[in-house]
Amino acid sequence: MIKNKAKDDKEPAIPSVNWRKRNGRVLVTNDFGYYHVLNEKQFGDLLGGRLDKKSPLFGVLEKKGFLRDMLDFADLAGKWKQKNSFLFSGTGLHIFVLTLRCNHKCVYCQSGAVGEKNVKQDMSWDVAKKSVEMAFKSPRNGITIEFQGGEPLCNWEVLKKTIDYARKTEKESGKNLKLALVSNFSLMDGKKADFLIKNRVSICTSLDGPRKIHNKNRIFAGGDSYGVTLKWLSYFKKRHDTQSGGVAVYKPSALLTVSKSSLGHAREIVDEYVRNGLETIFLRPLSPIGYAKKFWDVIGYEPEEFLSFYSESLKYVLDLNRKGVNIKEKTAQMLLHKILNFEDPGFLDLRCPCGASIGQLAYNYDGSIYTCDEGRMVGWEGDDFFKVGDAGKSSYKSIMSNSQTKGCVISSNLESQPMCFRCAYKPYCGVCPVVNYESQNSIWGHMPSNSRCKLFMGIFDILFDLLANSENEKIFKKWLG
Amino acid sequence: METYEERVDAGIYSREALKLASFIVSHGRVYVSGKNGKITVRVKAEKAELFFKKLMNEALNQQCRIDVARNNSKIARLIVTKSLLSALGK
Repeated sequence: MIKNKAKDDKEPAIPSVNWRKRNGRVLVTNDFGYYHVLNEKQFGDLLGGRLDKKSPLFGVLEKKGFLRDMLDFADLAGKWKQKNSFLFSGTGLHIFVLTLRCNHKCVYCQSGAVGEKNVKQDMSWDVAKKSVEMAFKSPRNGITIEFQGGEPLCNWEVLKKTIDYARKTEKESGKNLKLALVSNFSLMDGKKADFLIKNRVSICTSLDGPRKIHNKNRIFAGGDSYGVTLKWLSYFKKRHDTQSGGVAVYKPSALLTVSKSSLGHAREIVDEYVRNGLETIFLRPLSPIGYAKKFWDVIGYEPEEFLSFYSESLKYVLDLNRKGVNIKEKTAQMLLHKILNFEDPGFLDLRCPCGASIGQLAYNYDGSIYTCDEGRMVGWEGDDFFKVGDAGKSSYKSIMSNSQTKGCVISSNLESQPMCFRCAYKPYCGVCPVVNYESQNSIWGHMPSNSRCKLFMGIFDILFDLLANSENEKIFKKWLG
Repeated sequence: METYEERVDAGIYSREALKLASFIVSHGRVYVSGKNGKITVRVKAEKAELFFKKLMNEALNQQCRIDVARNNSKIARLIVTKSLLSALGK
């Protein structure tokens, strides 16, 4: 460990530290991702260079890189690089919007879905092939192609051919490919399921809670969306649980978009996930983007309302863990990977810079490529601000070096954001230029009045409050494996 | 159209910040003159005084951003450059 002494021992060694005062305590963090909670006197002593060098607190703060003259550069640099490992690799996630056709009419749909018969909004095989070729141009050794829609199963023939072609390209390129499908399951059958399992496609669906809440949010003309979802969740779970060698069968997962009708039903929703054998619940807030923006007064909510729901849900999940129930909340899990393990959890929405283009690309059904799925949703509403190229026409280099990509990278750099650069949550947070653009007319946004900022600050407040309890900390560490 | 003007402190509001603000708060005309620490900002708009206040609010926002960018430019540039180069495979 390298120790550098101040030239003048009387000069206080004021550290580079961000802080947040709440409830008589002060959370301090640094750029390397270390954190500690102090009382107000200790905080004053830290800033004034008056800490007793013989105290245990001095030793802890020294180890965590809070003392300017006592920095273990090797440790701190290593922690920073680990936490920001995404800066050293290219675009990993490639979202293919196979079709905008859908047989559901979800109240919060942001994808711009159209009626099931509207085949003009299917991705053609030619576009899909070119999109696969573009995705494999990423310099990253491991990539993920995620099929979305609308409902991707509406364009089954192209989906099937694309999966075959992607696996073939994987072998030829030597890269590692993960495939994922996000589906409402309404068009699933045994033959399709077999094909997906054989080709190692991981399956994800939406489950918004008990039947009443799920069907209210996810209107399915063909009948009972909840019933169909559970039927196939159970099917894929059984295939996973009873596998014995051969091709690995992934466990299916589900996620939840929290809408206005979810609020007030935190426990019922968590219980629904537990009852169906799901080990992870992902409580995603709704974003005022694209189609959802138009109906925000009907489906949306204030950050405080979401935070109240989130706090109740997370506390209930922890209670269940204490009773031996295996259930994790995914947002918390991803943030805790950063806070406790200095790891990059691959959460493209919350990193610095954000994942626009450099972390993910969204390939629309017509071959247009966008910085991200959110940027594509803005495009669907008639504004191509976040379009970065076309599959088969644009070079990979032009996509990564165009002004939209650069603009998103620069504007989501927290070091350049007036409020963010000195925020205690900076080491773990990130902004979204698309949400800024849609809600505040600027990719830079204005954090003091930004709802998304308020929301994530609230989530961090909840997490750090819960972390103060050692029992909770133990459970959270178990979630990280 | 009304006219409104005030002298502002160049130590707080740089010309760059005022220029950026005038692009954003764009529903009026902005004229900046003066030197040696004092700038006069004259505006022409419907409800000129209100427009002036919005302009100066935005100028403060832009000045804050300029100051942050200047102070953090080294690390900001490192992060942006690294992420874009990695995305290109370099």
